[in-house]
Amino acid sequence: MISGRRWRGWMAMTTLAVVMPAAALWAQHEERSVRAAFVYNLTKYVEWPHPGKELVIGFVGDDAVGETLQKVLASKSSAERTIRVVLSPSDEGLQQCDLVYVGYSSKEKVRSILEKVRNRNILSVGESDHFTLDGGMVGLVRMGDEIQIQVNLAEVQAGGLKISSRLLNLAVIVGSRGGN
Amino acid sequence: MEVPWGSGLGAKITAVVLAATSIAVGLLAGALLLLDWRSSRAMLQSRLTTLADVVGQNSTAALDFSDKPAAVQVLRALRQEPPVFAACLYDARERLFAEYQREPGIRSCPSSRAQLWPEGRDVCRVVRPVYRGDELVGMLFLESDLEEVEKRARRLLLVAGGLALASLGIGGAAGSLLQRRVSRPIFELVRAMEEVRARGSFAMRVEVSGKGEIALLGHGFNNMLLELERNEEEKKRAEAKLQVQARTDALTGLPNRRLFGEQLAQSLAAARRESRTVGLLYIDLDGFKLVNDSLGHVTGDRLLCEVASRLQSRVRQSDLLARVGGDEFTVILTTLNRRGEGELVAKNLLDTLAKAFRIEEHEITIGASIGISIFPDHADTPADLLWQADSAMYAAKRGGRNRAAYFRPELGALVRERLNLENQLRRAIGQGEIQVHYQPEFEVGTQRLVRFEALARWQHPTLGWVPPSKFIPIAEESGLIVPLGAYVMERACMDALKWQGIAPQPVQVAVNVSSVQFNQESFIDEVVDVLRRTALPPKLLQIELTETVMMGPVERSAQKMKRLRELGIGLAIDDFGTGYSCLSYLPNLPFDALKIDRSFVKDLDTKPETIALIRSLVGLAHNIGMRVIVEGVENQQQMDVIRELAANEIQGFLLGRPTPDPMALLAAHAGRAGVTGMLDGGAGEPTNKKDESARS
Repeated sequence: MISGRRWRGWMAMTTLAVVMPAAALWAQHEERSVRAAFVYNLTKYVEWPHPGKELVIGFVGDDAVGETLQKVLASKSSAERTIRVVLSPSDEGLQQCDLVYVGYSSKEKVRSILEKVRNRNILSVGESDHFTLDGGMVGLVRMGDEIQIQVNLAEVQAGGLKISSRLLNLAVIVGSRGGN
Repeated sequence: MEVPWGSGLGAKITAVVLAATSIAVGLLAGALLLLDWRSSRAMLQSRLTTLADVVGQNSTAALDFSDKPAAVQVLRALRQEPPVFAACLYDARERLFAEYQREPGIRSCPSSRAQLWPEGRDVCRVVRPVYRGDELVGMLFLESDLEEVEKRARRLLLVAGGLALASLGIGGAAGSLLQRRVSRPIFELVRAMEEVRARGSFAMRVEVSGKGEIALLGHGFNNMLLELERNEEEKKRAEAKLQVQARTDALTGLPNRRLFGEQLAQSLAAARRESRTVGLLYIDLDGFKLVNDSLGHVTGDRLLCEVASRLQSRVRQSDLLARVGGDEFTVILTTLNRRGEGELVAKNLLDTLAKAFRIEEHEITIGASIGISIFPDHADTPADLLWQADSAMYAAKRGGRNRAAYFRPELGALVRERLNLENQLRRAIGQGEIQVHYQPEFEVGTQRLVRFEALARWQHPTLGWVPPSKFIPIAEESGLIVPLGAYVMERACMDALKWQGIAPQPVQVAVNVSSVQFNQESFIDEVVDVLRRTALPPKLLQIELTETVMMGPVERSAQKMKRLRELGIGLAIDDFGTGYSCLSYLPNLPFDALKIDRSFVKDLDTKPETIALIRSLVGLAHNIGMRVIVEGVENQQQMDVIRELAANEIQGFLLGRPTPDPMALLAAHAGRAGVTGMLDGGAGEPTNKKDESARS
């Protein structure tokens, strides 16, 4: 089990990660921080079939978001896996990721990225409101003051991943629209 | 002995049993309730903990993703748990994240966990951390009211109360059962005691079964009753014995005066109902006092026993013989068929006493005077009847003793007169009202005056001359005869000494001595004393005793007579032929003279056969060396006859009446040298008047 000292350390970090998005202020950087925390928390509700020592998070899209992700998540660990954030990885590098955060909102860009990570045990997370409809697995879609979690279960299952039912309780389950 | 129990034992036992039951049930219920309360609370706590953990687990995602509605949704699941009235979910930074209230009005959760209200007494609360994996993501606060616990407690209380009531019921039943086994026997004992008290009998017993303390008590009670009953019986026996003793004469075993009184009253009552006649005999022994005085009380008592047994043997079964005084007996003749029957019985009784008694070495002759009174002829109350029988008895005594007499109305007056006379006689002896008169006695052959008989005369200041036949019996009965006799003897001896110079030959004085006087222990000494004082030669004194002297201790009397004879004193038996006339004792007694009773002389005129009787008496007396004196010679014919019969001496009115002044007669006689004329047939001093006897 974790010792008391480590426990306090975790607490501080988690507090930082989780509570911030719940604040009333809704500024750009706040949203980015919230998203980073959501991503981090998301890793805890997803089960990968062959988890390695590292949990590699690839980021494509707006750099600001990627930086925030890196800042928030770097050197953290989830389920005893050290988190490594890779900004704008190469296609090859993209396929090495466990989680790919797609910061684009254009359908074409999203689809091209999804195309590369499909069926590879890679959890795809996006932020556009049709991300899950476009074949993404988990969408963190801003709805007013909140971020709604959308899950495309079919894609998740196709990717060989399992998402905790507790998360699913919170999420809006969507199906793929068109595509493959 | 105090029993410190105020109220009933039964109530006590029931109360104790009920109290014990109540306490036991109360303690048990209390302990159960407390334990159950605690365990219920613990269970609630544990349930709340589980609930909090589950809800917390289900809230982790909501916390992670700041999904408050989802968290509220999760918390709302607590609606299935009615006890939980509030739940507050705080995030990892202890800020309120979601809350739940069972119903409106319950206060809402504070925004910070630190501001949580303090835990009340009537609530159960848990605060559980919410983990996702190892990571603390929040804190869940649940608060539950205790209504469920309390409801359960109430239910339990209800059940316990019911059980308590049932226990009390059972306890009460057990108590009353116990009471029945403990106190009912005691109540029965109490009832038995009450009954014993009410009936005053110790004969009852209580039934005892079993072996317990109560049974012991019962046995003890029975034993006590037995003991009391024994004591009671003993007491009754003793009382009965006392009753018998109180009604029995200890000496003779005969009924005593008391029982006699009761029986007499009963007999009279019965006779009155059945119109029967009852006779009462009052028997007084003649001469018993002499026996007692001379032979002592022991002999006297034995004589009384013998008398009693003889009397008893002659009394009919239906009659009651009782001893009512020292030598007095009574017989109740419960049924008299004829009036004369009383006399018959009395005669029978006198007969049985006539035979001499043999007590130790003494031969004792005793007589009795019997008074008879008849119910309802003479009296109709026991007291009167007794008094009349007593009066009749006195009459019989005065009539010469050893006889029976019926009551006659005049006897009542007689008795009163007797009492009166007794008192006056007592005074008379001291005051010189008693005089001594002398009646001459002559020798038939020589016609010489040989002796004066001293006769006591009582000149009453108002009544005048009281006849000796009246006052002598009274003197004898009252014992006054002793001083009276002593006075007469002294007077006679003094007078006799004066005569001696006048007459040419010695003149004796004859003094009558009552058997009462004679039987005095000191009689001989007194005679000796009188002779010494008066200086009269003993041979000039002749003591005359009546036949009654033979009643009582004959030997002792004989010894005294011998002693008198040894002193030289003459001894004559007086009034011979009236009383017992028992010739058999005569030879054994040292009499030197025999005085034939005047009644024989009186009969000479009418009953010629008396001559033969007197002749044989004279012959008998002469044969045993006794002189014969004939008294009561009142006329010449009698005189002639007596001279024929060879009597030694004569006395009578024909020859000389009792005189207070014998000196004159003596002088005249000395002068005329005898009364030859008279003795020869000349009526010197004619006597027409029949006077009372000269006997004293």
